[in-house]
Amino acid sequence: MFKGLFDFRNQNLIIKWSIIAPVIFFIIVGLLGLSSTSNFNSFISSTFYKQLLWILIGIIAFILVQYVRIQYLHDYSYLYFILLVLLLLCTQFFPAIEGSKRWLIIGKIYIQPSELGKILYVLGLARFFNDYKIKDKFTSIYFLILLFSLIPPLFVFIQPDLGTSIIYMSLIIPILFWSKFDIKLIILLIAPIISMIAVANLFLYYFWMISLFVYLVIIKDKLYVRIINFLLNLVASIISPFIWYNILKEHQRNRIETFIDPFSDPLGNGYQVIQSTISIGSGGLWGKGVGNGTQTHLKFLPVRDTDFIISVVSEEMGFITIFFILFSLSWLVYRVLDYAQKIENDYSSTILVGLFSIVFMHFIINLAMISGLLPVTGLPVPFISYGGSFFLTCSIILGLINNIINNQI
Amino acid sequence: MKYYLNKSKSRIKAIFFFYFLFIFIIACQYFNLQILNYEKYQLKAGNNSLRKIILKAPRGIIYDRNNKSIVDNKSIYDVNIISKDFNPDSFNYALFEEIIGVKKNYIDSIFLNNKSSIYQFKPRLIKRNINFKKKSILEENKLDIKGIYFSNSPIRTYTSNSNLAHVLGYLRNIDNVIGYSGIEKFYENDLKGYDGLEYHIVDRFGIYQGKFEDENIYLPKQGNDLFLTIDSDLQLFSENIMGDNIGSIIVMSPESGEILTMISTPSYDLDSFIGGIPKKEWNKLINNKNKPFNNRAIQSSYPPGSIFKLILAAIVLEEKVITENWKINCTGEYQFYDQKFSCWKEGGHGQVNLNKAIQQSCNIYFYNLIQQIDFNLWSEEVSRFGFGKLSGVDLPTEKKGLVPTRKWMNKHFRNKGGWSQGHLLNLSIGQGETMVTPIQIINLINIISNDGLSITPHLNINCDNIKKHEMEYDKDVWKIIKKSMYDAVNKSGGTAYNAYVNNEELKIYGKTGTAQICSNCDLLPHAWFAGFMELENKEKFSVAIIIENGGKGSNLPSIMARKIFKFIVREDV
Repeated sequence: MFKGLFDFRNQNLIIKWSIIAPVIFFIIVGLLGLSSTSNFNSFISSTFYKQLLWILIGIIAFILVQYVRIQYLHDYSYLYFILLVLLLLCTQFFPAIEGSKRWLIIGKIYIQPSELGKILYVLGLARFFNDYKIKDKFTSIYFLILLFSLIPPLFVFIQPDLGTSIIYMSLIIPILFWSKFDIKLIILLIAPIISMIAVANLFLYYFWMISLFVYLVIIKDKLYVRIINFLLNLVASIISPFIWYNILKEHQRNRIETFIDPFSDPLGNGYQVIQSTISIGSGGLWGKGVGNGTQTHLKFLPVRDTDFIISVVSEEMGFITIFFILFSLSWLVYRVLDYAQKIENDYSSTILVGLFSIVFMHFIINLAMISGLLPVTGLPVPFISYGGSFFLTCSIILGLINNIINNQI
Repeated sequence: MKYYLNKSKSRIKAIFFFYFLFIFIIACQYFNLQILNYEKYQLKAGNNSLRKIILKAPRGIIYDRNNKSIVDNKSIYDVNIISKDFNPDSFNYALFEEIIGVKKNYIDSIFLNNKSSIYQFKPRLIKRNINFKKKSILEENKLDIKGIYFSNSPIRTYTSNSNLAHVLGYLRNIDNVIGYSGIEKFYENDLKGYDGLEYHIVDRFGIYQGKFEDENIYLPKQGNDLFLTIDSDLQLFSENIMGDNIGSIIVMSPESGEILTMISTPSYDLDSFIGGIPKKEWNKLINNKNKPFNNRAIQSSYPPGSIFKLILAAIVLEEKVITENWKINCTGEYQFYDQKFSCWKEGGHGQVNLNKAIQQSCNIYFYNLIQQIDFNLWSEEVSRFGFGKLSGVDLPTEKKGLVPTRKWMNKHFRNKGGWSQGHLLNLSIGQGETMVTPIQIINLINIISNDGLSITPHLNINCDNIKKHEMEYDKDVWKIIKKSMYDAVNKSGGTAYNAYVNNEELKIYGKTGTAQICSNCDLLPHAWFAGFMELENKEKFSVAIIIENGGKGSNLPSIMARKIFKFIVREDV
């Protein structure tokens, strides 16, 4: 199965510095953050030193990935997708750790398939959407492939790992869009989700349903398709309260409720968000200096090494650093997507957008969560957060991006 | 419209638009928090911050059967220093040294090490475990010792005079203080209670500025109290008569399965574990070759010696292999093929029936008996008496002991030249491969005294895991066995005569055992006594005693048993 994965003769190791430079900046910011939160008593307990080790491993992975043949990835992408589904299914048969079944446990090795699975998911999805040629009509196959696409996020969701599940789902739209599906299909795909949320507020709900109705009248499609679409939205809004009360667990409900008003429960679920926003806000323009964050060091901040590392960075290094992080991210968006449109091979172009979206969505969702723009659920920040397998995944993604840009243009 | 959007150029614009919009929204939020509202959040970070404080729940109190508390809680205080608040110029070192004996250089070294860096905000421990009185004196002089803070935690205190270390068990601090052995471990979930939670308002240096008043305060919930079956007076008395001997004593109420006394020696002092045991002391205990941590009552297995003759007698009577009148002539020696076995009494017992064989513990009689039944039957019945399996007592890490079966013997002796009938003769008198724990022996005595009913021995009066199990032997079997045990104590020539109490109102039954631990060595055998006492009102008390290398069972343990019986009926010892 792995024969032909690597091609050391024709593939070249060229580093696109315009892509890599911002990432190096992220890594340095992450190390500065960790140097503040990590203890240096011993190697084992020092997240800083361990992160250095992971960076080294990441660099090796990056270099290795340069020799991967993209054509090979294309050929086997369905197989990868099936493999991903099977691996995610397998996690259910291993013991739960801290309440979730995310890992395959072999001896002392813990493997989290949903981590590297993000890449497999993109490869599979890109192939699905590119192989399917009818892109402007509602067909049963369109729904079928959408249904397939929802299997991995669903499996991740029941592990349960809400954060990763959201990442999976956030990739569907960009990939669908970049695979040249008609905008109408995409809008009507998102519509039921909006219906589910809008039902929480009656006024908003009426407004939304009327707009949807008008849109459905305007677009050109078969009448029954439009009726089904409208009914679908009705059903979604009706089952929404059911999901809220019966399927979501209490802590998930609480998270969403406190997101809407964190001060309703300042000591319980709102605590993290409040402390995090205080950390960010008190950093000011220049920050308090690395190692001097009172919020950070007095342990007001939870999971400082991973999910809330940006709060540490904001507090100690200020808005100026956040600005440069966002600037670097924008630069990456600009460069990568610009390359994506130059690639003639549809599949390569789509996985480039998909892979980059993984990194991008992590950034956006994490930054939004810790500053109170989205409900809090555990998600790390690429290249900045501490964490071995996630850093490795990001390195491989970056490697593939660099590889595609070098070899497909 | 459709055509337009399908062109890659327009698509890239759309995706740029959304991605940059996301980034822009994030940027606005951070700009809002960090630039526009900087002063507000700086104030918040500086002034009021809430910190979660775990309030340790006190563990449940442990009482004995007479509602006397034997394990209670008290508070100890740790002394901490926060370098940020500490001022070497105004600090009253002399007072500090006088009260808690911490020297100036020690305080200074901690201060200097933590003066800079972020650690200046953190409380650093300088002295553990000071009492309330010392704390009060220091608190009166608060202004002279700025930078000193106290933290308190509940710890165990042992209020009984009896030692009880093996029954109660000790606590260890592994992330959390947890029961690590004995009852404290077995009933950890009941005893530990639920930690509480409160929020403290602290300033930006982490210094306490008062409680955050809120409805959501979770008060700690003390663990459930535990009522033991232990009689601490009897326990103390038994500990005293045990003295420096190595071994174990168990006293039980056979009808209820309640354990009144459980002793294992050598023991250790639970007080030394309070607030963490010093390393030196721990090493001393751990390296002691007599293994003080071992609860001999349930974890050490010994050969049962002659006490096992009771089981063989019961089996043959139940199977009607012989009657109680079956006799042999004991000459003191017994030739079995090319092996010579001897009775403990030189010259022999002469004509012996079952009653005399038990009363005087004649080996030869039982050498003959074991040959009358199948070995499998013997193994099966022995394990039905509770040997080779856990008694189910509510203590952790009980050991099973060993009852040899045919299969086991085949395996065990495979590389040792096989086994022969001669081994069985040894098994009949409780020597050889059989290994039993004291709690299994007292269980046997309970079964006999209850005419076949066995009840799980337990320490918690409200124990909900008590199993009853009836050995359905003929009533006459128990009668004969009990009569023989009675004679062993009350008739002259009986091996347990030393346990005799001259009191018309009570009946004492007993059997001794002398367990050889090696042939041709200087070590004295282990000495057993097992028996029970019946009062006029039919109340019963069973006793099992083993003294390691205590010599003959008829001596030391029998005498101890007598003292215990006398103590129970409040006779002067």
